[in-house]
Amino acid sequence: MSETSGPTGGPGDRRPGAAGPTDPSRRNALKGLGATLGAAAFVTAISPLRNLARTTSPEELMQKHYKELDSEEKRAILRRLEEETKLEYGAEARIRDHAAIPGTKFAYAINLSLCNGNGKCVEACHKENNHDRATNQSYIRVLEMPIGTMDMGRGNTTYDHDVPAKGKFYMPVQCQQCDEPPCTDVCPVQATWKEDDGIVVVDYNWCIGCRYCEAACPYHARRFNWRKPEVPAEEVNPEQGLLSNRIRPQGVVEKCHFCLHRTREGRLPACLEACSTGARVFGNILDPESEIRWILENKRVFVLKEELGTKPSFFYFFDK
Amino acid sequence: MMFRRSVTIILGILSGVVLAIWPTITDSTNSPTEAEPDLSVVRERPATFPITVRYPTPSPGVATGIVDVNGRAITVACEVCHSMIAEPPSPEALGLANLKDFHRGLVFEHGNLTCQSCHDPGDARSFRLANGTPVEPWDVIDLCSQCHGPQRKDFDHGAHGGMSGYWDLSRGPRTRNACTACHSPHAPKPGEVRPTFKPIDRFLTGSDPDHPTPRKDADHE
Amino acid sequence: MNRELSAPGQGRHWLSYPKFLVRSLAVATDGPFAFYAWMTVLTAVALVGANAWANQVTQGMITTGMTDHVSWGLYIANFTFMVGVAAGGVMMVIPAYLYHDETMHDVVILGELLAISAIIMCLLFVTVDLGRPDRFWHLIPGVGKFNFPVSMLTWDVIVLNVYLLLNLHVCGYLLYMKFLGQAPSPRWYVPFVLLSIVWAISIHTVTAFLYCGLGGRPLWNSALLAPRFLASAFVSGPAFIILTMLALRKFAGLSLPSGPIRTLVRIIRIVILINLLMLVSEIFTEFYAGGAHTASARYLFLGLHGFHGLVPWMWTAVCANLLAAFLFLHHSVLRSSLVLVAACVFAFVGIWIEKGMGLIIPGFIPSALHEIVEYSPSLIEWKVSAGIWAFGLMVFTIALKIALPVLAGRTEDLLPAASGPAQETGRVGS
Repeated sequence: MSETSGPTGGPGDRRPGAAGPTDPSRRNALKGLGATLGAAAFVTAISPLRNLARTTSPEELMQKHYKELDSEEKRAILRRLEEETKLEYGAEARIRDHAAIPGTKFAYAINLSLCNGNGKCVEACHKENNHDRATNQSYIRVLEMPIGTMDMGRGNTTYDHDVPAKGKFYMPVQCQQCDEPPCTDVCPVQATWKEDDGIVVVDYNWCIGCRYCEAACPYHARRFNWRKPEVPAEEVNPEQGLLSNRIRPQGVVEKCHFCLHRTREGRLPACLEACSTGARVFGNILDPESEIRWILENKRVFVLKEELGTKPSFFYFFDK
Repeated sequence: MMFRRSVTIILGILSGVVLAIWPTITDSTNSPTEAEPDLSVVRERPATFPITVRYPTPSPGVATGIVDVNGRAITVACEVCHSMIAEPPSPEALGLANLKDFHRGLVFEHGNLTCQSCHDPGDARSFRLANGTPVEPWDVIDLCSQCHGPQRKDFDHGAHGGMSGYWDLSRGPRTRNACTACHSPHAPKPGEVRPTFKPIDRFLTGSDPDHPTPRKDADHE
Repeated sequence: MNRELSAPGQGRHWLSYPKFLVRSLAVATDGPFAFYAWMTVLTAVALVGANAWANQVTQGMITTGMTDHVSWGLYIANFTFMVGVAAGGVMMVIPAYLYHDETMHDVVILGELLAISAIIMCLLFVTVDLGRPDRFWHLIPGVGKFNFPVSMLTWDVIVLNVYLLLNLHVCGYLLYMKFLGQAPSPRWYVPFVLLSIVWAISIHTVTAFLYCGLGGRPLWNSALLAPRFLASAFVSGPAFIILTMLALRKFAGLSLPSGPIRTLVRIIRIVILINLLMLVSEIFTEFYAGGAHTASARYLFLGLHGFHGLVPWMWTAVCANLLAAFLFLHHSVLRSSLVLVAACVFAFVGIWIEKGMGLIIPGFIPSALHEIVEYSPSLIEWKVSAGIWAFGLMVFTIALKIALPVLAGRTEDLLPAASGPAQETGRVGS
């Protein structure tokens, strides 16, 4: 047998047809034909990827990690994202990069005696953060729980009756902004991390979409973009942050970021403003005069799943 | 010598691994020190912006059911009638059953208070505290706080009543709600509401035949 | 053994190595009609899988059955299982190299080739599970941002790739030496083989650590997970190798010795019982201690609040494992190849379910907020998974084709026509 001119690889190394002829050159020619056919079939099979290649710019593909960007590069990225928002959603957006305020560590508390489960916070989050409209996506889930237990197994998020129902209390759950976040540890590419003000953020342009963080989070705080979010142009919230509510790409993980595009400007998060019961308290835990400090010092607060040692910055308490 | 070189490489890799892990091992034991907050920045910042409380519009009067040429409802001030009543109703007899005219049908569910617990019988358009001190009609917070001390305390610390605007008053103002923004003074218990917004997770909607709507057992047992 | 390096000078290697590759390719692609038919079928399935994956990437993973509640599915289930199969090959290496089992030594390359194919499948299963495969380069140390050593996934990337390289090196070197007609030098492969033994343990331990390190998932958060993974790996890997050897005997007409099969059966007999013991102690702890942490196990074995999507899967696995254990322990397993095939198939299927659908999926049910959302793979997931299996089998078949002449003692097939004398022994290494 000759060792010259073997087939040139490819997974389609096969020869269609009947019993093998003994002539080596003919055999090699048939092998080559098989390989060519296989390669062509492979190219056809993965041709849907061409659509994706059209919508993904080289700049986006080669974009560096957030922490490695200088201000010039960040500016270029913000402009590019604004253009993309215009192009793909038909909406004018002002995307900015908000840095943590020095001397700030955010914390949140919810008074479960006040919360009546009306879902206003869920809706406000949905609108504020440009969530996918079709799925009513939101970073907050509200559990309706029977009074007398803290067993989430007896809770229900899909309740659809007038609230508050007799014998029930309501417990909104969102990202607990843990001081020991299991989600950031597991990320293989450091696409998610805890910032100086305690907010756990995601670099939507760095996440590879392995969803390990989603498996690691004990609070169901993370969401994956199973498809490209759909938001009508007139409903897009134009005030956007690079690490927060700008419209996320398909295939990456996102999460509650305490509305950092608001809170890092001193404003209250959208869920708090929407709360009509006043159950939500937000503030800077390092400021001894802050409301949140008063809560922690004067109410018997608790955290969810304390036994896991995640040290949440999100507290719950009852008045009565 | 190639063998020796490869052994060196492997040893190099292994020691690299150990060196790489070391900082995290030592890190975790030292972590409390890095949590020391720098409070100077916080204290230096003065609170400059105001907190505005949304009080009710003073003395709304009573709706007559008539509108003027511009379509605005015509209201009648309380004094219009109450100044003409010669004899103020006796405090003991004052209850829902005694109400006259358009006061009738008022839903009153507020403990065992009577009208004059808050309304000043001598001055129809103002209120009074339990000790008789008159209170401006818009100043509901002080009025309610007579009984609802814990709520007042929570309100003063931002833990009741909700707010909007700025958490950081050095950067912008804040708006608060007075009690009556949410609580009717005559029947303060908030009513039931329909939840506005539910997640439509895939497979939670039941639209997918493979994934029926989940059911939780919260209601039984 | 020759104490000098038996490899010829550098100048000749870069000429002869490409020749070796070309020759290997020629050997690998020559075969009877049945071979071409087999490869054609596998290619077709692999292409279906590639097409399904391309659609998944383009339209988003909405095309899978996964949700934010069950965020890993069939892909990661298969990944976990295939890491076990890759590690299982070491059950041939240990007798061959540590206990100097001569007949095992003759066929040990089967285990190494299986490891190569299985690891390639693992890497593919992880890749198809990514939402953004275009950002794969973020995972490359030095180029991207490799979160080592904190993320267990980075450990897994390292151990899997090194294990792949170790096995590629050992197999490649031994076959290359056959091609050159030289005796392989132990210096060039024995240390790597010994390292690969440790490494095989490490790949499955690290893979177990991926899951058992997550405090928020009670079903996985068990110190027993890594030992369980290893035990089941040392059943599923050898079971697949036994099936391969029986198939090679029947379809490739090889007269493989039955000593290695007996050794593997003896290993499986012990390990399958250890695996069942660990499964039982896991089940006992879960159910006897009770409490909210039992919810996942309850869902898996009994169903929870009217949901029992995984119950048939899990009981199939339990039955298959028990049946396999019974058959392996029965004396007829060494006499009747039918019984042996049945035992191996039951063990393979049982463990595939136990480690995949029966472990990865229930970890997410109920969810972190104790909501129950069930999972069943979508058609796209089945297609992609089948495609990867087909591709893995193609790799394995081609690798076997190259190694077959060695196994059959016909090393001259590998030799270039004009090259040195054929080896008189069919043994790979010694």
